[in-house]
Amino acid sequence: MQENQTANPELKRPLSIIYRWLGDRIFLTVTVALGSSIILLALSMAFVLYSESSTTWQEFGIIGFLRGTTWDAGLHLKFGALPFLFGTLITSLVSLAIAFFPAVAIAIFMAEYSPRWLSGIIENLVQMIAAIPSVVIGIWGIFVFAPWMRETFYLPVFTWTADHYPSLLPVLGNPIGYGITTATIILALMIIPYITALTNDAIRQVPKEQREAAWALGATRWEVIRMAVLPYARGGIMAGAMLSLGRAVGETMAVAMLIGNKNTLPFSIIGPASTMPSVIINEFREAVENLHLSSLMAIALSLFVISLIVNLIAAYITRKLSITGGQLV
Amino acid sequence: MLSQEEIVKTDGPSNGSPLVRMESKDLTVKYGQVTGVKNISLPIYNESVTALIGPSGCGKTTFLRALNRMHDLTRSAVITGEVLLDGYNIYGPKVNPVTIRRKIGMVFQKPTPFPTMSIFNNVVAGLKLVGINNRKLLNEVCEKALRQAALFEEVKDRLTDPGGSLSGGQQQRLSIARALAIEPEVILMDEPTSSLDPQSSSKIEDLIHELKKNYAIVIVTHNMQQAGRVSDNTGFFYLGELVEFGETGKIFTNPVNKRTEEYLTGKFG
Repeated sequence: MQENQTANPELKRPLSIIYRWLGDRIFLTVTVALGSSIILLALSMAFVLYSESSTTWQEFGIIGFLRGTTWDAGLHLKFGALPFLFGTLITSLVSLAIAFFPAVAIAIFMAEYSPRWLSGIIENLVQMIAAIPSVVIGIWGIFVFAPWMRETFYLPVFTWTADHYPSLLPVLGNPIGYGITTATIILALMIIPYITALTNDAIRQVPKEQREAAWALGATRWEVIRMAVLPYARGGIMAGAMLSLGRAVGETMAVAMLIGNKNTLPFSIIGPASTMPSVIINEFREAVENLHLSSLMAIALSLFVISLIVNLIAAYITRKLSITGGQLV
Repeated sequence: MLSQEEIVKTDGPSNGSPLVRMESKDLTVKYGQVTGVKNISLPIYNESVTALIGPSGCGKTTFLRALNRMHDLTRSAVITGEVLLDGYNIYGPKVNPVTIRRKIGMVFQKPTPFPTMSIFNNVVAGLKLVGINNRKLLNEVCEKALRQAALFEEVKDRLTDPGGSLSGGQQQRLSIARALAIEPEVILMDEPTSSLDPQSSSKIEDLIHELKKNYAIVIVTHNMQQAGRVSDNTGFFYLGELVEFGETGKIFTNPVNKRTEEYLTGKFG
């Protein structure tokens, strides 16, 4: 009682009704408005893509367009997306396969082995690489990496194949330096930082108790990682891989600059090819025909859907594999 | 700080089995400048339970973790003094901490099954580490360890389920079974029941009673009734020092040190 009497009266002052009543509602309105505008934006984008591409869907049908192998904007005005679907699928999946293990290894080294000062440096470097604009990587690829690949690998391999198995030359493709292999390797380099960063986060979230439990069983350092750390972090690692796959699917500039841009199947191993983003960026300026433009829109819509699916899979994996409080969810 | 005179030891094992399994000698653990525990000398008798009690932050867990070299994982931790296991110093220059941890099992405050591993694989995880893959042997060890941990009947039909699918109390018994499977010489328990409900706690206590027939057990506990129920010897820690050590009955009924008495009667803690 005594304490109440000596208490500062300011602390007891009732909040103004307007502040309490209005504050809550304004906050609610603003958040709901902003939150729903994001959803509306995505929906309206999908709708615009669909309506702009409707001519293509009517002309070729959904299956027909996606399975069509001809992309002829000149004479016949015949459009099929299969080469680009194929190119996107190959470059993104192979680049993920190339990038995954090195990236996870870097993350394990950072989180578990390296001294703190070194992992700080690596972390910054990784972030820096992730922040390089893809057009910069693309121009480096054009002037440095692609010529180097041509001189060091493609030409020797090509000459050797020409000497020994000339029948395989069409499978190998032209050694011009710009092609599907070059683009895939660059893409792998570009997604390594993402997988590394996300894996590193996932590993650092593994509770100390899990590691100690493995230590207490007499596990060595690597055994602790294999037994306690990686299984626990698997959800985060797989989600990171899927999100990076999403980036690889949508990566445009560097790929368009390096892949050689060939619109017809079949693609060869080192020869030029195309992806969905690369054909859009290369042709949208010259698309004067209605059907051409509409087909590019159709490809954009397909890319939109594919990215959405990849992200949904990532979210599903995260939910399915993640572990909270020692309990499987 | 406690003066030297305040540290009293009543000596002698309580259960007539004088074999000292482990012994710490002048053990000091420092984290950088901060002292965790100071000059602890304490025997751990075979086939008995040694309880470590004391208020929060008194160093009992720090001491426990020094007994199987868990502090090796903390970069800033510096340890001086000796811990003898069957007469050999586990902090000796040629000792491999991995081998030590296999001889001194540990059960933690929170249940720590590997959540994605099956129950079976959780139990035999320590055996698989050293390359034991004989299915028949693993099956035998698994069943024996689960029986010892009083969990077998509850999980025998679902050994392939993930460890994370069990309840908290079951997970803790699984952790105990996992520690038992590698047949350690000593079992360290760091507040093994503090995150469990009373029923699960009492199961764990019964288990400790059973296990002490074969093992030396050290248990850190906040629960003084528990210390009284399960232990043969009790060490009272205060401010990083071992204030009193002796037979549990004596410490609880007739403590020599004033602080021990105050703590046990709830005057602080």
